[in-house]
Amino acid sequence: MSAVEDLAPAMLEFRELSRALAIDLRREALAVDADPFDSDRLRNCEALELLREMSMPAAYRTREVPSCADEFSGSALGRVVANIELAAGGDVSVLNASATPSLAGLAIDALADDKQKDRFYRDMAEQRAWTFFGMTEPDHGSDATAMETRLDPDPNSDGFLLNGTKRYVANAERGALGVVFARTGRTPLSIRAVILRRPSPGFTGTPLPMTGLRGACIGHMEFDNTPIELEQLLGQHLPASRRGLWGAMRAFNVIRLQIAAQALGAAFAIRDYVREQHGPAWSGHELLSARLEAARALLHRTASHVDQSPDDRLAPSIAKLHTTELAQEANRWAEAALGPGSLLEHPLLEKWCRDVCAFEFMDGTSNILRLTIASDAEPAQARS
Amino acid sequence: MQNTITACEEAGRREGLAAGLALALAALDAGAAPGGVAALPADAVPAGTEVIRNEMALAEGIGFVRPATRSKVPAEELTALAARLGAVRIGATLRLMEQVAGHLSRRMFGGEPVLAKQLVQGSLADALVATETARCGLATENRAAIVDVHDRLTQVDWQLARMLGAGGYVGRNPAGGAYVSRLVANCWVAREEAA
Repeated sequence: MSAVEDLAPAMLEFRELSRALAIDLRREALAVDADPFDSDRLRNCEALELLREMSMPAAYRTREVPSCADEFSGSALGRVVANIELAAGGDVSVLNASATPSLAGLAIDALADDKQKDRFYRDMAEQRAWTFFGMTEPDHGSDATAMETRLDPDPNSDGFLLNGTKRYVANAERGALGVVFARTGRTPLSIRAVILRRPSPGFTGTPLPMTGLRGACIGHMEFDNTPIELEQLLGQHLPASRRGLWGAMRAFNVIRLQIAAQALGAAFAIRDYVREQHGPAWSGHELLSARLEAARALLHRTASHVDQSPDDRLAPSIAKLHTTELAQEANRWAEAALGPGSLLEHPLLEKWCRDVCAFEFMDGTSNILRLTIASDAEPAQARS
Repeated sequence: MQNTITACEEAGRREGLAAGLALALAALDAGAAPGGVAALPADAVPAGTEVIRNEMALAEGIGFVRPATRSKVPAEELTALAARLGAVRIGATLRLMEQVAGHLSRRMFGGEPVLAKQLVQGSLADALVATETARCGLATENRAAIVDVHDRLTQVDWQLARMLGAGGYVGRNPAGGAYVSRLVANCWVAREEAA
């Protein structure tokens, strides 16, 4: 039985919905690559609008969505199934242009109190807002504990002042609200998260021209004495060990699997595109197809596991490491399968070759994942 | 032949992809491209030719064109071009490797340069081994072997590019040059003899 046939009926229905929405995303693929900042185009894409609604908690939706759509943010398996199909039949770059809660929403879910959550999602619904998640800094890409952005007491109020720089942040310029991490002291436990809205004094964002996955609109953010009120500080109601990085780590775990699913979906898109060029009788895809289906089974199994054990880092790390490399293999396979000049003759294929490189840098590079896998697998090795 | 190969590698390493491509192409013009799309040094694109605009390539001094007329070139001549272009790419890869090593020696993680990390050193060593091996792989008239060299260089370039981190994915950067190197090879390296 294939991984798809193994899905429950509601999940199969949700998969079909995702496949239908993907068609809309594909239509916008080259236009978004050429001009990712065309907000009107994105706002007018019906599939992106429906994805935005589906990604919101039910209480904050402004329109009806199919009942199976709750799977989109309701489980890791739903997230994986949707992201594979949206990338396979649609386009990963357009998918990353969607105005969904994304990493910021996951951090809010983990760290915000009820009042903060309510305001965040109300703002999102009213503004149809893009969100940002400020963690990475220019000189400390994978080393969150070396963070330099500071959150210091404001001598003129009972709040704080935010100072520092974040880099490689999705929606850095267009995001209306999001979460930013900063340190209040020197220890890892002193790293805290705040909700930030635009406009805020001293808060600026600048887009960075990207090689691919341009729909993500990655950029640079600066904070120059940006005032932060006490109610913007997340995690006050939580134990000290769960106020800051813990929320980020849990969010990363979910998103890591989502990125793995997008990488696999992009590999399916590449495979399907090449098959179309060769016609139905061509068998040159069979080995790659088998590997892609095996990766789908791995992702489904991993997602079901994460739904049971949300803090387990090992399985999502294995999944992301494998599928990001598989997407690279797929694009090299495509180049060989289509012959000379193929990348310039097929702009969509050329774009996907650039797009899939982005997954290497999102939520843990391959070497960081290798270190995570090695360290988390050690106890199991010791037992065997 | 060997002198030409060496000169192509040197041009790719010292002067960049466009200069190397100019040397590798020798007297061949755009019409010789086996797939109908040619990569040329941007300053050698003939006026009036249909251009496929690509900003990343232009930043490296490369232009892509669709020539109005195709010329039949003997297979062995295209194979020799593929070998010269392989040498250019080896030079470009070595140049990228130097840039990556420089970047990693300046970047700190956990109180020491990233270059000192064992995983990173292993990856750089693998890249160097693959590149040196590729050079020896060009001394043949076997097209499949030369195609294999190009495929391995594409992989090595990606292994190196990703060591630049996200900085190698935004703005103009050495990883962009590696990607353009792949596109150039995609235009000129024929995997099978034309029917």
